[in-house]
Amino acid sequence: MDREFIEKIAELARLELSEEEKETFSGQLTDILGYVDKLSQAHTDKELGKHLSHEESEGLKLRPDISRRHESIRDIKRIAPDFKDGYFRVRKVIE
Amino acid sequence: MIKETIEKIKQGRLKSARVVEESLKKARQGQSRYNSYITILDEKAMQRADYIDDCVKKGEDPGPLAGIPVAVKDNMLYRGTPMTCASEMLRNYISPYTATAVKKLLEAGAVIVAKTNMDEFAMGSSGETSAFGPVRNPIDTERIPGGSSSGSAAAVAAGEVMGALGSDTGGSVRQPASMCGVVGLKPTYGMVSRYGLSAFASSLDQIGPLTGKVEDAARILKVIAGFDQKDSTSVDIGVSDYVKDVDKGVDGLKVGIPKEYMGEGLSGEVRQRVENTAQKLERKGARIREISLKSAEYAVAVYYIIGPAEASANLARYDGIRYGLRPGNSKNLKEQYKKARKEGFGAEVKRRIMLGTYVLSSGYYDEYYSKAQRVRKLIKEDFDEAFSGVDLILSPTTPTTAFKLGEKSDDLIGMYMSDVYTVSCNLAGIPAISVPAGKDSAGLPIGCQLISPSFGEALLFRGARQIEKFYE
Amino acid sequence: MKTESKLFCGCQNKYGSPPNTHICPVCTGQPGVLPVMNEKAMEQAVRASLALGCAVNRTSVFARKQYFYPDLPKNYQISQYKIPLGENGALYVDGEKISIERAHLEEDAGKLVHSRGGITKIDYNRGGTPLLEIVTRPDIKSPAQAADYLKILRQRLRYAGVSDCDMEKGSLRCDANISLSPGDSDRLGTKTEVKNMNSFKGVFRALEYEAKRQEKVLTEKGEVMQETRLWDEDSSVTKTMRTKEEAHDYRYFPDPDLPPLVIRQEKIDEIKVSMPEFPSQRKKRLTEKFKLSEYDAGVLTGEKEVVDYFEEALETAGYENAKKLSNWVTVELMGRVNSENVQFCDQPVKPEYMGKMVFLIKDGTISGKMAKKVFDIMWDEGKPPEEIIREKGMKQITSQDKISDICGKAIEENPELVEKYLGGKTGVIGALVGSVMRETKGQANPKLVNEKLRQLLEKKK
Repeated sequence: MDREFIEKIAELARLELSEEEKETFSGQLTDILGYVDKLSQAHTDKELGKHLSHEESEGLKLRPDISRRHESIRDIKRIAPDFKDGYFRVRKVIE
Repeated sequence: MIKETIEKIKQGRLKSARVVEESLKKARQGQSRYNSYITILDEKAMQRADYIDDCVKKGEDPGPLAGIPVAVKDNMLYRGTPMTCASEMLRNYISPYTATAVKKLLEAGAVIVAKTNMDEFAMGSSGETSAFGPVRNPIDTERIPGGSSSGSAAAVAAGEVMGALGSDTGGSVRQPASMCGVVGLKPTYGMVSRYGLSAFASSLDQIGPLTGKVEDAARILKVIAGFDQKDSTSVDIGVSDYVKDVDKGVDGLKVGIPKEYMGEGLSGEVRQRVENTAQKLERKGARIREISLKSAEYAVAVYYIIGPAEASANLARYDGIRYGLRPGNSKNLKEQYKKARKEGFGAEVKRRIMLGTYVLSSGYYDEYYSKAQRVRKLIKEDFDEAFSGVDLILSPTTPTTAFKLGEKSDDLIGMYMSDVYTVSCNLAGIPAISVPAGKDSAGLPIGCQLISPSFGEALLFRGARQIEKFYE
Repeated sequence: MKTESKLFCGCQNKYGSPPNTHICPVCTGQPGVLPVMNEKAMEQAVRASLALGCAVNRTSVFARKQYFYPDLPKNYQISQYKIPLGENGALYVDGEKISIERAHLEEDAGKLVHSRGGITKIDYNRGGTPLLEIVTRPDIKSPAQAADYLKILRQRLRYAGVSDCDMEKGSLRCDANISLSPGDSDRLGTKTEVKNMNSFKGVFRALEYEAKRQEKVLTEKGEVMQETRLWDEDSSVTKTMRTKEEAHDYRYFPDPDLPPLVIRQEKIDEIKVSMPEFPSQRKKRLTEKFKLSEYDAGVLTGEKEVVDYFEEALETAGYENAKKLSNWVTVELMGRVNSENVQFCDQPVKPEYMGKMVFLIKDGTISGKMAKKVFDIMWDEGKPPEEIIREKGMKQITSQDKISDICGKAIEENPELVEKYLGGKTGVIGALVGSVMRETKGQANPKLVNEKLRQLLEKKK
């Protein structure tokens, strides 16, 4: 896995890696991927139309459309690193 | 066993306050030796214990786990208490709500005395990736207790609590149970609600009990299992009385041993112990045969694609905006994200996020993620086929006993391979239990694993109880 | 979409509340939370898909769309990717078919408010509310057609009761992809994406501008760059979005927290049966059954509540008075609604009263002029027309004897006008009628008065 590619993946995941980490990861990820490459030998059907983690039962259970006020609203605001005057706050988005 | 303690508390012969106080004391003492805990909840626990004793006094029913001190892995939310997932990212997080499984424990009268140490965000097999220092195995403190439910296993093994909850994504309850010499169960996927369990890999995670005795695990499962409307993957199948038939024995049960699990990589002593256990079961009326799980060789590879893929999405929320670590001095938003996640996450977590991001990225999805899901189906089919001929599968829980701290730090693949017998169950969604099967020549615990088809927990407990008797 | 609660949690789906008052662990992406789907949202999505002529996929799958942004609590959006809820529909704009490729469910993001001092504020109230994303195939041929498509889309979805489709409130949002190609070619040119259009007019103007811009680029450089551009309403131009990175890699995969959404055929049938008649069908009925003009029927069916009102009022007005009722509703009633700046659904005149009033005009009980007064009192006091007429003694004078008397009187009192009329200036009859109307305080039937006056005046000749 080349360095540029590692940087691209890190960017997608919003991870900032040190030079050392980039190098270590590059080697380690290559090893891991080398190991998982054995999967290509496994014989599987080409299409798994909808990849399901577990068997379909009757499908997604739906909940009735009722609203409620959650008891933890104040707690959620309290644990926020920066909550002021009714808003969560963050450094300005550049757009 | 907790049965006796519960009875005494219910009859008023023993005060929960006393039991809990004793537990808290032991925990504090053990903490400097084993580092099993992240937070010990002295005040809250004593309040709870007093409340239970009060109920008993008033003649009210305090619940099936009345007054028992238990610990909960620090990746499950308990309102008003800290939850760190053993990560810098959540060092100061206070849970705003309570996980369903934890709620059920509380409603059953249990007293939660502590949140246990673990591998960071449940990613690890040794207890060494915690941002709060590694957990040490109470049997031999130079050795790892296993992971990722390290602290939960150690706490039970050290006798500091009477039971604990862990989470199992690829073996994280069973493997540390095996290495610490305690019982650990991973229920069928969907049996126990995941609401309030910090997600690692959503299609693999399950909460399970760690206890000293098989019957205690059955008792706890009965309390925490059941349909939860808040979890869309929760199964609506009804909870059995797992305790009732626990001593029924194994007469007539067909037990299969996968040949793929008994070969290379397995330590000689562990192999021998499993084979001996099989012979003992036979003498008790079980029929042992060899079976084959054809796709077994792919299981770890599949796990290390699907797990990190789902984890990379589940951990994206940790950005310091709504909660969590927010380092100062960022010039702009992007920098803020990166700084928080750089300082908040340890190496193993970063590694798995990178891996997961990669296998889901454009151009690689089909080759890795999609392929892995298809092979996963093969692995499930292997089990379906096997269970058409046997009732239970017997195997080692781990290929070796507890290794030394630091021993596998540079051997990633080696570390990952210690999950080889446990990951398939998570991939197939089927339940499995690890039960203590004596010690090896160095005095380290060996664990046997029993696997059953979906919803076969009652059978697991039966088989495990029998094995437990052999080595008691 | 119109629902009581959000798509995956029980927080209220309400616009315009104080910030961060409709939030909970799920929609703020706390650790350990899980999505639980809203039944009504499924029904609304099915309703919308049917309204747009889509085939409803009985099994559809939720997927995680991953990207980092402060308004996205989990830094992924739960959406649908490979298998959406609705597919292959169409809307007709002036007879031309605009194909709809897909309609899929997804959760909305929160709202960002940019503040001074380099701070962005986030309100998660909107986060997690249910959205239906509707994507057309590249069938729209002009900016004007795009605006028309949106108008029809809005009308249909409002008729179905799925959404208010209010661009100002953000319950209808629009992004457009536009490309140019030479007149004789079937191949599509390079497209740009245009965002940030906040009204139908804005859509029209933005696309018009962008089309011209692309034409210029193609002429000068020969190639349009594929990019995303933002419409700036104030300066009336589209501008490049200054992002450093290339296209997002959303890394879609099926959401493991949500089993596939399976909708029983019975449910789809149930919803189909409960669907209202659509604007075009409604319009047809008005023109065919009640003989209204295309224009009138068009105005009435513009909004479902208006045509519903009309049809209810028609019951007391009588089908034969459809045209008159239509005028009253579209001109007087809607005029008043607009001038008083209220919502049509909040106006105070009951449909049965409106209808009765029209009936009473037609049967001669009151004159058209009187009716205007009756209408005002109905609006202000909410009383039924018969009561108002009785109380204020507004009943029209129609008896021939009475009219004869009053006309006779008017002729006597206005000899100059009579002279003029007899001298050939027949136009002055209006003044005579006016004098009679004044005398009777508007209660005389003007038509009868006119007739009588002529009769009497002719006799004088």
